[in-house]
Amino acid sequence: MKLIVKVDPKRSKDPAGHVSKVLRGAGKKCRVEEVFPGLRDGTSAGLVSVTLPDEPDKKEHRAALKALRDDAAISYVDTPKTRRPS
Amino acid sequence: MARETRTYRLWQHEVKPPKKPDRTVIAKVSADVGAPARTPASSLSAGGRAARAAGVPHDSGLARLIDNGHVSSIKNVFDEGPDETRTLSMFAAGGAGRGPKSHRSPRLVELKVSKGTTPAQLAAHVARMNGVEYAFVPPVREAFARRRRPKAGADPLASRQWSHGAIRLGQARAAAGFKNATNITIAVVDSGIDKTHPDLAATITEYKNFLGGSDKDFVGHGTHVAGIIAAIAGNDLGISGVCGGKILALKVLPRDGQEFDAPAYYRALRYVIGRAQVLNLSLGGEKDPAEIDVLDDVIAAGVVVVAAMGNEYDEGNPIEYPAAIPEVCAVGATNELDRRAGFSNTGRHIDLVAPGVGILSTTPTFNYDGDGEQDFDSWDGTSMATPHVAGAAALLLAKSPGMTPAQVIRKLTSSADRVAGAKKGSASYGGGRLNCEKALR
Repeated sequence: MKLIVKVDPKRSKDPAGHVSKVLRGAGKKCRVEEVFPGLRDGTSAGLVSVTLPDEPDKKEHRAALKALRDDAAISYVDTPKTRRPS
Repeated sequence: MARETRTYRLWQHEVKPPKKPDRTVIAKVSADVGAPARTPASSLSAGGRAARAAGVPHDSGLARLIDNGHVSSIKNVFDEGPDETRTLSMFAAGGAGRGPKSHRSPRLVELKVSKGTTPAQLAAHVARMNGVEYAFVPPVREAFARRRRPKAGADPLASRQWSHGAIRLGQARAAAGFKNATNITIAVVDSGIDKTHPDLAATITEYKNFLGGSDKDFVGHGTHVAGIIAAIAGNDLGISGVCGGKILALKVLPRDGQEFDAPAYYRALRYVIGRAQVLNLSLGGEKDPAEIDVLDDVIAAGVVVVAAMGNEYDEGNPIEYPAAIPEVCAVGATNELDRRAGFSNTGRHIDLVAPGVGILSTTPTFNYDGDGEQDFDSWDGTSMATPHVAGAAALLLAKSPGMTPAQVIRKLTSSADRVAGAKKGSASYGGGRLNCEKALR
């Protein structure tokens, strides 16, 4: 499962590290990557790509999502949207 | 995007030498000339036999022309069978009954003029003969349609780009002070571009593949979009683009069946900052907050972002993003009748419309996933309307480099033509159909 997470750069200097910490707290191992590494200015700053391991238990995913959404430094958690030619 | 099966190929005008007129004289034999006499054929001269076969007396002046070598053959113009020939002769002889008028062919005979004799002189001579009503050298008849020969350097398929007329591009180019967008770069975030296409290659300033793997445009979509914007004009090849600008090609749309990579897409969008002045997004989908954030930075950096309204009018007419982002110029499609294309999404966020049906543009020179043709093809879609507006935005920036994205969009919408009786700001047409001439005034 893939997610796009926005961390408020004013609240965290290390968005990827912050998301990893939140997910570790929820007992999750996952791949976390900053979309724009090192970018701290502008509205694009703080975007993090998260890949949760595929698990048959949806409860695990729900717990991870809840942990991310409840975190005060995280502005939003979203699933990536597809773009197609129009 | 929807595809048409219409196909165009490059063609070269063939210069053929003018056709020489036939050495022929046509003569009309008088109706009162008698039927050929029943003299045995073996006793006739060559001219006499030929004349009889043509339904005129074997001892007439026409027969003597063959014997004298002025004429090589004589035959009836109307290739009638034996029955009709006999009927013709009977009429000519004032014989039994007159058939229906429509059945009577004029007694025209064709004389093939021998070398050494001038057709005009022979016609004058024959016209004076007894039993001949008139004779003339048949004039050459030509079709009044001529294949248009392109001027040297012109694009041979440009005349099939109806959209350029609709957006009054020719008038804009002819106006004083017009400046091509040669110093403007338009980013095309799409399925890639065929870098080897002869009508595009020289316009591509940079090509970046955000997906990894092959750089090829296997979808053909990006190549088509780029051609509408900037296909090279005046190169004796294919079509011409709207603005003559440079293309920054950013590949993010995968081929059919492969997964879309959202982070790669965001990186491509942001890559435009500092590298292009206009961003063409002939794509769409659901609302995406990360896309909104990234495009906010792109627009703040002075890039005019132009996006397609979408082609799902008949599938619930959903609101598509990024077109629905307020600061993005949202473009719908019109057809050749200046009406909204049936597939083009509507909504209050629409800024303007541009041609998007039967749009001829470049397609990959290699076999790609679509069933379209190679090199050039006509496609439909708001994807095709969007690059017309992106090209117009580039022309505006070439003329007035200091304009902000908001000013460019306002200028394009305020100068657009009202169409189909729709009020400015309608959900179908927005400000109206793009008018480059008025926008650049």
